[in-house]
Amino acid sequence: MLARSGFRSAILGLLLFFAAGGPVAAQDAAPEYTIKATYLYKFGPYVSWPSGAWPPAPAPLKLCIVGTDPFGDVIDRAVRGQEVDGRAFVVRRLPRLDASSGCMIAFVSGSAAQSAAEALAAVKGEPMLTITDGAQSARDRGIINFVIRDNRVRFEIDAAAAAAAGLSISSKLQSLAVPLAGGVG
Amino acid sequence: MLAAGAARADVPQTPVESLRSLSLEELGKIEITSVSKRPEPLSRAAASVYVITSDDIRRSGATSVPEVLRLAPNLEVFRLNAYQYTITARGFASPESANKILVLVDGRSVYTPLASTVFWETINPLLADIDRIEVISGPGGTLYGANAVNGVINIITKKSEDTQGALADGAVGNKERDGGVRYGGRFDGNTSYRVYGNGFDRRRTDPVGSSDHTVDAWEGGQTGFRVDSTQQADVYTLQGDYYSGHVTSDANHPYGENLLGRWTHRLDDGSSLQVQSYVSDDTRRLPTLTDDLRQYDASAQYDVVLGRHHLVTGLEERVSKEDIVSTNSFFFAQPIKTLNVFDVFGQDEITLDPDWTLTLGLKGEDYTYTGFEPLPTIRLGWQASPRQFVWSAVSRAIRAPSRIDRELQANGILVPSPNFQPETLTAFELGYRAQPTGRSTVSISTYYNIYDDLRTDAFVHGSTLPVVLSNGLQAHTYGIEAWGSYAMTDWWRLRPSVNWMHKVFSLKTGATDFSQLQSAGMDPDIQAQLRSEMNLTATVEFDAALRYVGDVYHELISTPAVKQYVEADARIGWHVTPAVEVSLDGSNLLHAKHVEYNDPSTTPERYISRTVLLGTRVRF
Repeated sequence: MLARSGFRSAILGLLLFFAAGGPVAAQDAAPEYTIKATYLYKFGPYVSWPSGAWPPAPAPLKLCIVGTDPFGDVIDRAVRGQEVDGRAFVVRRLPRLDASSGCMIAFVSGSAAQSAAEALAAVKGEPMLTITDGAQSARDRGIINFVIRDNRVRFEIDAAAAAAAGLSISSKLQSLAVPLAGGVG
Repeated sequence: MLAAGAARADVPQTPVESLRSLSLEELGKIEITSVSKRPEPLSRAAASVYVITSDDIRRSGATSVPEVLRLAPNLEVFRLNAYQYTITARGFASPESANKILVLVDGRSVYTPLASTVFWETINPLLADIDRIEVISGPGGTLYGANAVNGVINIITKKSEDTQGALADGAVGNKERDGGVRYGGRFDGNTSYRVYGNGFDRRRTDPVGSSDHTVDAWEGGQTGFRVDSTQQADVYTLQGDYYSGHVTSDANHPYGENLLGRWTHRLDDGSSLQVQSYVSDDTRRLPTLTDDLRQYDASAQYDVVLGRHHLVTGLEERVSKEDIVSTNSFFFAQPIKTLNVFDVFGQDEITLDPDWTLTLGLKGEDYTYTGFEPLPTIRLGWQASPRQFVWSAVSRAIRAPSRIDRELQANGILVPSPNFQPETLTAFELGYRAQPTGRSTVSISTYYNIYDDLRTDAFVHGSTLPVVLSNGLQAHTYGIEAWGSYAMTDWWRLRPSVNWMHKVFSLKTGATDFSQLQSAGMDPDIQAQLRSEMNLTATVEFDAALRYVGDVYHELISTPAVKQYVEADARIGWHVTPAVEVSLDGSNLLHAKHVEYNDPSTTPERYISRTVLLGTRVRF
């Protein structure tokens, strides 16, 4: 039993204990989609699109959310003030994706209007960085696919799909990816 | 603090801006937190869930877990005195009847099988170390087991690697003093730890009755540790706590400790296996009673995705050994009793098509008192549009008989009730979550609950004592829980909520109830809140809340037991440096004192006062 004086001395002991240690920065836990929204715009600098694939600066970089939007205003707030090569981001929400959508980066989650697999098939080979969320099969998986590992948001990269789209993914980004599960397709 | 998407309409958020400075490597190290027994985006949770984040807790200025729970619009939180609270969802408030909410701390049940209740005064984690509190209103019997009838409160502390470094916080006010310290470090690259301790001193509340001279001043503290180790596909956690509290008048002295170990193994195919075990020992000394409860619990859970099916299966065994020595007129013929509960459950979440999800769950629970009880649920979720989610559920849940229900006796007053049956609930729920615009979110949950076999005090003969606890009461209740948020600007968010319910109770034919429907509890028909969160500058926050609680009625009395009231809370916080925060917090600002609850059969009626607290939190 911890009488009044008892818990005071317990605190005193802790104070002595942590006085001996050094400070360590801590990042608190964050909601999944806040982390994913941050990834979305941070991938850009590690990907090279074929020259001429997109309108030149200062035209903004189009980041599309296709189908169900899990982000809400978090993605809009995430990209506010963010730039890649001096170009700002603009967020577009689309029910369907096709080659004329003009998205440099497309987060594809699918909806009744168009499933993720249909959206991905519609832009296969286009110079578009497709990103999916927890896809289990190759046909539902974009070039980058978010996965949860150890309760952390990580991602897979489908290098073959990137090559087919004419995108070059930096080795730095590839080194951070987790191994692709379940075969390439 | 701004909320994210449709499906996460009700989830307060860590500001996305705060992640800007992180590298991709650092992003990959931030932990996300789970919602149900397996990680699941809240959006698709086919249940009424409200999540209180660590930032919400900090900004609330609250100094105890029950005060934090006032943030959840789907709960009823009433303070009885300096240390006791009654907390429930969907009705049945009062110390005796708020027995239908299951509370877990890092997977450890703190619901006592003695009285089917939660002793809130024994739960004192360092609030700064809480990652989030998930509040599920409605039945959770399939995943969480018996007693998750009207809701589940899941308190989840941060992993030790997320609490590295030293933290000290303290608050001083007109009614209380609080302080806590924590230090987190590393044994090696894979293994981190933290140790913490906190203490509090709460002053006596003012009595309402002139003859009430009881002293409820309350002091105590808690200390504990947590170690987490990640070895490739395996995660190990070991944690423990020790607490002690003391009412100055010796009316109540609870103390106890617990130790919990958890191992999670992730297999190559993406499935995972979790094994957890804990022991706890809780002792409570009252003037005429000493209660010692030891619990041993072991559980395993397997989680796998097979095509369209996401399966979670598991089993759990808990042994509760309790020794109650009573010197008052109520007693147990056998002071020592061991209760066993074994359950096995399976849940299949089936993706019917990209927008429709069907969840089928069944738990079978075998309990010493009752034998086998099935606890099924069916849940359907529909992503109606990118910004709208509709869900519905039908579930069965039970409140298992407590020792008091079955065995308590008092000569000439109460005879034991070896046939007392579980109280049962069949619940029908329908909910809607949406993000009407990029700035607004809304969540609406409705329910229709049918209760049977609720507890009554039946006369054994005619209409004279003694009584025997019986299952003579039935009820149906229905209600709406609605909350939302609206970002007025980038720096100002409003969170309105309203919680309305209606209850109808009826005694079964021939049933009598000497307790005058005590198990019905007393609830307000309506509660409403309006919370405002402002980031005035990059370093100054100003938060305020208006809370309305309607008249609280006893089922059989036409004048309210507690009159309706409006109260206000406000807090200003200043981040002097990134490591130092000071705050000034005021609670119950509109009245010098008011009564929140009145249940004379259990505790004397007390005033809850206006409080002002000066707080600080330092990291180094």
